[in-house]
Amino acid sequence: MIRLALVSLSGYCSGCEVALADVISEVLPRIEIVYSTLIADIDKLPSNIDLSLVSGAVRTKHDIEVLREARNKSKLLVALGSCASFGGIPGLANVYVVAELLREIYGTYPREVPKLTRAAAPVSEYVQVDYRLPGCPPPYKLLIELLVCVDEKKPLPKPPSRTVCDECSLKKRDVYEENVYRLGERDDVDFSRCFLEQGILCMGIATASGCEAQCPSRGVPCRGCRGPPAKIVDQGERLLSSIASVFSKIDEEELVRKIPDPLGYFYRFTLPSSTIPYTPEILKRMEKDEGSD
Amino acid sequence: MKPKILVLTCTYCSYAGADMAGVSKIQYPPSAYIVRLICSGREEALFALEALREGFDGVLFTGCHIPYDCHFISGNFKARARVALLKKLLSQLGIEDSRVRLEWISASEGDKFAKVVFEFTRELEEMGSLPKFRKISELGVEEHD
Amino acid sequence: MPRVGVYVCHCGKNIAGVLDVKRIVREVAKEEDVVVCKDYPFMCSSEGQRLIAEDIRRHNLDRIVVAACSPRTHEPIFQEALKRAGLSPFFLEMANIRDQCSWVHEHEKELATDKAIRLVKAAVAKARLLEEIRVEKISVKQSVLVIGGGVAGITAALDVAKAGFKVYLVEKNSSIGGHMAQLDKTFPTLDCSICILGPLMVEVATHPNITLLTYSEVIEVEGYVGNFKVKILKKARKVDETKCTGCLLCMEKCPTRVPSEFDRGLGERKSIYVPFPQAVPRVPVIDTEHCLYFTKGVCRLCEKICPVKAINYEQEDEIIEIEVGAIIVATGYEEYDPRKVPEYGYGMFTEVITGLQLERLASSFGPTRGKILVPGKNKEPQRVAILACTGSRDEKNLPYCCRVGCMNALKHAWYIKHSIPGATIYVIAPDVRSFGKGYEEFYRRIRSEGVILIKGRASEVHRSPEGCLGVYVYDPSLDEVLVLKVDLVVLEMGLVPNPASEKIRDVLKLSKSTDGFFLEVHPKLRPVETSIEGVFICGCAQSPKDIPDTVAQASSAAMKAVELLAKGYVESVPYVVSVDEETCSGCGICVSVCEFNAIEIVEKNDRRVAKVNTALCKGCGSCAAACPSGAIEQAHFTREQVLAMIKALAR
Repeated sequence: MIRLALVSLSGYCSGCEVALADVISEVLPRIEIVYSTLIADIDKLPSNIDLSLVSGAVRTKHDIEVLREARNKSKLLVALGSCASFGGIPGLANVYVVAELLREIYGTYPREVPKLTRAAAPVSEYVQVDYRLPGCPPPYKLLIELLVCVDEKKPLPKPPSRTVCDECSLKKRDVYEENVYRLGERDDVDFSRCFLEQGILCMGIATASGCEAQCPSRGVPCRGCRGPPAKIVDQGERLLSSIASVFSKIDEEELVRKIPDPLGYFYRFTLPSSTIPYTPEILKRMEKDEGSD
Repeated sequence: MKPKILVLTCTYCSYAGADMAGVSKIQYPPSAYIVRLICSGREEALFALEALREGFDGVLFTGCHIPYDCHFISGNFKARARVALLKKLLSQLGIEDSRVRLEWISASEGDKFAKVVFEFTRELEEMGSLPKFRKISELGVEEHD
Repeated sequence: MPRVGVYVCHCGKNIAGVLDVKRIVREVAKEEDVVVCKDYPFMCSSEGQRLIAEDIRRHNLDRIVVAACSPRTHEPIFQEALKRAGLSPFFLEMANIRDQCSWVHEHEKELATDKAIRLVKAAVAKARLLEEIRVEKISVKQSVLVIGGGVAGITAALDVAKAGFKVYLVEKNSSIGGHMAQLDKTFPTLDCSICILGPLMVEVATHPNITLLTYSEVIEVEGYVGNFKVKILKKARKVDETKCTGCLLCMEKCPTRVPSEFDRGLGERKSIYVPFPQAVPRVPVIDTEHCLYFTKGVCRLCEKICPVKAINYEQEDEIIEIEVGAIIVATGYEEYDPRKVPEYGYGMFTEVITGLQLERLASSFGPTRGKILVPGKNKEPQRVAILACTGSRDEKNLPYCCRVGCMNALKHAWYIKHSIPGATIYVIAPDVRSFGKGYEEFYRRIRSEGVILIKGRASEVHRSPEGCLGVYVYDPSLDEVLVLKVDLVVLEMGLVPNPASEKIRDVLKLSKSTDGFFLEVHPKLRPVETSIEGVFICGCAQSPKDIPDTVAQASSAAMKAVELLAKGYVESVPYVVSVDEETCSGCGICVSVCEFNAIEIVEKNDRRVAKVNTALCKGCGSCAAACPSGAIEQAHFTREQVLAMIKALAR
């Protein structure tokens, strides 16, 4: 029996918890939920936690406090989902400074917003993480596998070094179109064939395997939610350098017209754990604040 | 302090061009640092991102003249495409996209090499240096009330 | 733990005159894993090299950093020094503190020294991560493929064959000879063209080392330097080459008449034909588009008349596969299409012809047996305008010089002068470029023979009211527009790559220059080599040129091929890429970015993985930069090594 804590940080959407609910019938005999603000209504972290599953990105002062407490009270701490693992979608907010961000979202300056960190971050920025199970949401087979391993005290599974392409069943001809298309721009897409070869952006090439290529096999190009494979740190950079190389015969202006949002395409889930994890504006703003102190 | 520039070069054209500047004793600021690769096709965006994070103020991608000078046929096209998307990415990150620059420099263009370094240095001086990146956990919480 | 030795060269005063060498040594000696750090006046001297070798042995060094000049010039020297001390040459890293530091920052000694320290530290950072590289020796097939049977291909084939190697000469037409066989005479000596070419053609056909494949095309090339696998399409001649004796009775009896390509449309040939009397091989070919048997199912006269039963209507195309160590491309040129310069009326007036057409008119085995007659009028022209530089050096057409037009114009003036002594001849040329050996002398001779030279370009050719042609040309010396009344206009067309060369370019993956001709590696130092190792170019396939230059370059290409074959092996490129099959997910990005077909996707344990053919890999590293999973690394330029350098330089 695992004493399990579900730690949901502020930048969470409850998708990871829903994923857990999906598998709960299979793992119920193995777990005892000792903490969760979402599905169990327990609001105080007990001690002696076997496993903390942390979801969401770290964005508030309170997040950091909860996270540190969970770390202190847990034998194992696992980052669940893309946000906790890499910063995820909330990490895209790192191109704004806080004031700008709040203005963007709330219009006028809000009073009742918790104190925000200057940039969203993956859990590993603040505490030691024993394992990462990324995905938006994390693939449920992997979730079961993880819980079984913890329960049976086996070593945790190795993070995949291969990419989605390894599991993808779409046919490949190893010939790429010379042009890039936006989805919807082509009406002759062959849904049984590799998207990228047809010039449609698919992030599977630099995304860790484990999801069984569920999106591409259902006619949707991969968005990269599983983050980089083991040998790569900066998933977005790999996607950028790789995709640019394939479509390098397109002239520069046309290429940027076709891929107008490299940040959104390539760093959708991983900006806070990439080489340049936030806008330097944040640093300038911070230096100004510190200077005024 | 002059702005620090990382220059990524290919062996056959731009590195040789930089050597040519040397042989001809054409002077340029000592804040430009050359890293030699075999071909501009090896120049990846990561090298620039890493350099900017680690304290370089600008990154100069160089290669053989487009379209036909690349000894490996199309390495320069690859560098060009990567730089195009990288510039866009940088501007999205709130970093001046002109901190990354692409120039074709042949083995005989020592003067061009020096001229480009001068020009780039001047541009970067105007931009000022990038702040030193820190870990997110060191950034702290922004007071807003 | 690696044990690094660092050697800082003074290069006399070249480095030490600007940089504080002692400070560099002091600073770098503090770096992790640096066991020895020394300076020396001249590292590249035998004494300097011995110092390295001694230290390698004494201190058990396994990585060497030499901070000196450019690796482009001196890396091989220091690699040899490592080899002599029993260390792999690839454990060397150079820091270029002369060409890229002391020489270019002469007036900022402090800052230059700071920079040099960073450069050397970066070299140390990389050296610590260097790995062993194995270089393979690959044997070279002892045969050469020559593509194109003009004077360039013929020369190259004979040179290689005479050096003792096997040659396959492939020509798309039914006979070798190329454009030179069409010429009546060659400038400036006025040699009879076929008289000097003919013997060479025969020598090709009879040389024991040469396999001549005419009426054939190269359709596929696989492999790499030393080991090319070539597929050749041998088109059906419908005549059995092994039986035919070349009596040409069939040609005599054939009842059809077709415009002759060899005579540039001015004469006629039969449906079964050899293009010209001196053709090699002297075996006719049936033009199935015009042959009565193939078009209407009747006739078969050639079959009946053939004394040796060589006609075989059922003969089919054949594919021949050969293996060669080197390939020489000599696909030649074609005249620029005169219709693209419509102001001169080619195709509108029968009296407007191209230079090559005039060659056929002047030739003793041409359509008029050597009598120069105006096409369509069948009489000798009394007034002739020769327009040099047609289509050439012209932004709207060909921006480059054809290098033969001026001399051809002069030669053609001579043809007419000597065939029709009373004729008035105008040569209109923007300049007369008579740059070769004996060319200027030839120019003076033609001038002295009463040919009228007009500096400039004709603007237009009109039908004049008298029935002859009017050539409009502005003469700057008179400052007026002249209208020359003439009976014949000869256009000296610019040269373009032979249209068939585009196919060869595709098959071989060769690069072309902006003008469309094949691109050499270096215009001065490596003029016959291409970016594809083992493939050489010569003659007009490389750029327009005259016969002497073509022959010289063909011999040069032959020499390069022989050099490769005689050595017997090639060494694989050291800085090739390798694939970590465990990580590779078979996305095929690398396949699409490789320009050299060095990577393919193979099935391994039911998985798709990339496989690198190290013999084909040129080591550019494009695939390593593109590989999205990090499965591909380039030796000596791994991501880890480059990032380590960047970090060291940033410090």
